[in-house]
Formats: sequence, C-alpha cells, structure tokens
Amino acid sequence: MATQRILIVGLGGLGVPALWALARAGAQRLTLIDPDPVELSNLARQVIYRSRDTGTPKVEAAARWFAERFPEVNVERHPIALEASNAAPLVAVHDFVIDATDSPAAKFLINDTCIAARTPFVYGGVVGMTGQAMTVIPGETACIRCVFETPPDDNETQSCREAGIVGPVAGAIGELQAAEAMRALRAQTLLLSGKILTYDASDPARVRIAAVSPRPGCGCGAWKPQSSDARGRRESQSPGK
Amino acid sequence: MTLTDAQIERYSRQIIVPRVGGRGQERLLAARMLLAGDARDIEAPLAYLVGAGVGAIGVRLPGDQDGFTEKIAAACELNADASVTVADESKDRVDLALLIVGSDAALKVADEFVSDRDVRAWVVARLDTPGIIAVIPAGSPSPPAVDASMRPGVGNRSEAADFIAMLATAEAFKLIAGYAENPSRATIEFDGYQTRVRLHP
Repeated sequence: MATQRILIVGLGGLGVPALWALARAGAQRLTLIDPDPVELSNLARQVIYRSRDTGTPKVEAAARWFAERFPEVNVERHPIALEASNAAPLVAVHDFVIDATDSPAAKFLINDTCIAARTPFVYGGVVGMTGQAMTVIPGETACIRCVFETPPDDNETQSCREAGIVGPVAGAIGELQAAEAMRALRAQTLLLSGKILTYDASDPARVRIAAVSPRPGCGCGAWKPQSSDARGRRESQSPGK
Repeated sequence: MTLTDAQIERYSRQIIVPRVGGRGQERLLAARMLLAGDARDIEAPLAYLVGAGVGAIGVRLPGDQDGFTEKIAAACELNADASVTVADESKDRVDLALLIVGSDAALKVADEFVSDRDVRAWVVARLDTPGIIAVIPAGSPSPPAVDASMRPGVGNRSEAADFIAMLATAEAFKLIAGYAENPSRATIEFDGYQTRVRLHP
C-alpha cells in the first residue's frame, strides 16, 4: 500500500473530508488537484482551511496542513484544473481516483478518463441536504454514463453556490469516498461498486444503497450480454468511445 | 444577534440551504453544546461544528485529556466565532449534547452526562454494530430514548463508524439550527451504511 497512489480531484466540501480520512487511515501517497484559492465562504465546511489561508491555492493550504498534521504522507500538488489535455497522463499514474468535483463536466471527464485508463474511481456529489456516492470499476460495473448518459446543461443543475450545502453532509460523503479508496488499496471488496448510495439528511438521516446496472450501448464495456441475446451481443461489440 | 457581513459571507452556503437561513445561523452562533466521545471519534465532528459556527462547545473525553489539547487548539483556529473548552464541568443548561459512543469508556462518559447535566436536546450515536443514532429534540421525554441507545457494553466497531459519527453531527446541526419546525424524536438504525428510521410520537 505504501507505493499506491490516490488522486483527489477537487479540494472542496468532498475533497477535504476525503483527504483527512485518508490520512487518518494511513494512506501514504496522495495527489491533490484543484485550481481554486481558499475563499471565506469555504471555511464553514472545508475544515482544514483557516482564515489566514484565504487567497492561497487550496492545494498549497492543504499541503501545509498535511505537513503540520501528517508529515509522513507524501503529497503531490497541482494548482490547476483537471482538463482533457492533462487528465489522461495524471490518471494513468494513479491506482484510484476520488471525484470530489462539483461540476458535471468534470465528473464526466473523470469518468471517461478513468474508463480509458481502467482506473477505478469513486464518484461523489453533494448539494443542499443530499449526497450521493458510487464506485466505478471500469469494464466491470456501471459508470457515470450508464446512469446519466450525457452531462446535463449547466442550467439544469444546481451547485452548492445556488442550493447551499451543509458541512457534515459533505463530510459524510467524503468519508465514504475515502473508505472506498482504502478498500481498493487493500484489495478489499468495494462497498459501492455497481451501487449508488444516497444520503438524504433533510429528515432524520435516510441512507439507501441501490444497485446500478450497466447500460447497453454505453461505451464503458461493463454491460455483458446474455449468451442467448444475440442482438445484445452485437450492441456490445459496436464501437464505444 | 445580528450577523455581520463577514459572517454572512463565511456561512453563506449553509445560510441559503432551505430551512436553515439567517435565523438558523444565528441560533448556531448563540448555541451552547456539549460533545463527548473518544478523541478519534470526535475530532472530525468537532471541526465541522466549529466550522458551522456553533458558538460554545464543551468537549469531554474519557480519561486523559492531554493528548487532545493540540487538536482543540487547531479546532479553535478554524473559526473565531466558536469557542471550545475541554473537560467542561459546568452545570449550566446546554442546548444540545452530542454523545458519540465508540468504546466502553465513552459510554461511561455519556452515561454521566445523561444523569448529570441539564440538556435541552440530545443526539446519541453508537458506533458499534449495529450502529444507531438517537435524535431527541428539546421537549422530548429524553431519558427513555437515550436509554435505548445506551445499551450496555460496546461491541465491535461498525465499518461505517466514521460515517455514522458524521451523520450524527448533521443531526446535531439541524437541531441547533432549528431546521425542522417540529423535529421528531427519532431512532436511526444502521445496517452497514443503510438506515432505517423510526419516528417516536
């Protein structure tokens, strides 16, 4: 496990609890990527940053926090956005990816890049009082495109900037993402592979886990036709991505 | 209490959550609460409560408090709006107690709180298997419900322990902020990570 590397994309409401939990759990090598500086409005839920960190790139503030609290953890930092031009080489050198972003476009980029690189990852999302998480094992379990097919338009989704967010709700999903990453590094069964967890905190906490099936026609390769289903077989052999 | 411009900006993402609002933020800032449990189990909940702006938090750990002093100081650095005191022995009334029970020693501390403190509302989390969270709003006949979550002896730690602790923190946040107009007394039972909620009349 000492040589295995985890990539955390996004150091906001999900990435912060994920990296904290990973450090507590003994992860040794983490790569952090986020283009944004710490803002005052982050501090209520991104609880490793302090007031004096405002204006500092999040990856730098997080690395400083690691140096104080977990100096044994090797932290590589990238104060840039994950983009189509840099995603593939970055993902390729990691064993597991945590999607802690808040934009649909970034989530689909992570999905497609990880599918191509055959790197497992855990998706996470939080808005308002609800959160979700799902682990994708490329070629084996349903991917984000199996569930959502295409990224929604920006005006179809709400971000935490519009709908708000409560720290412990994001904290719970981030903790869960970190737990999945650690299970992957330890070659343990992943709780959320082929399943999506939904946490609705608006009433007393309701957490549900539902199976997610690969979608015929999705290019991720997870859908396997029944041997008697000739049409399905043809579909699965059609070119994907 | 009136929110300053800086407070509105700092807490803006939780203020705009429906049913939290500025009034909920004011309640958080004015609140006095207790947090008890083992150091490893309460460190992250403490950070989130401080971050959210809970005004005064008394922390109680079983046994030696010394090892936690640095972490208290680190939590205090997160937010000048929140004050954190260790080994709170005051008998003043508190708005909410969040008890996170992950060991027999933590259970003993929780038991002392239940019998010894003037507390308006409770959230009690058991981190052993099966995990459980008791949510007891102000005005509830608290002792029986607290007792239900205080089953004797702490067994094997749930694989979802850290997740349960964070969910309990969210429930505490909601009670303090006045998220629900008439919150129900509830028991949240865990099967792994999944929950079954029982509401009590």
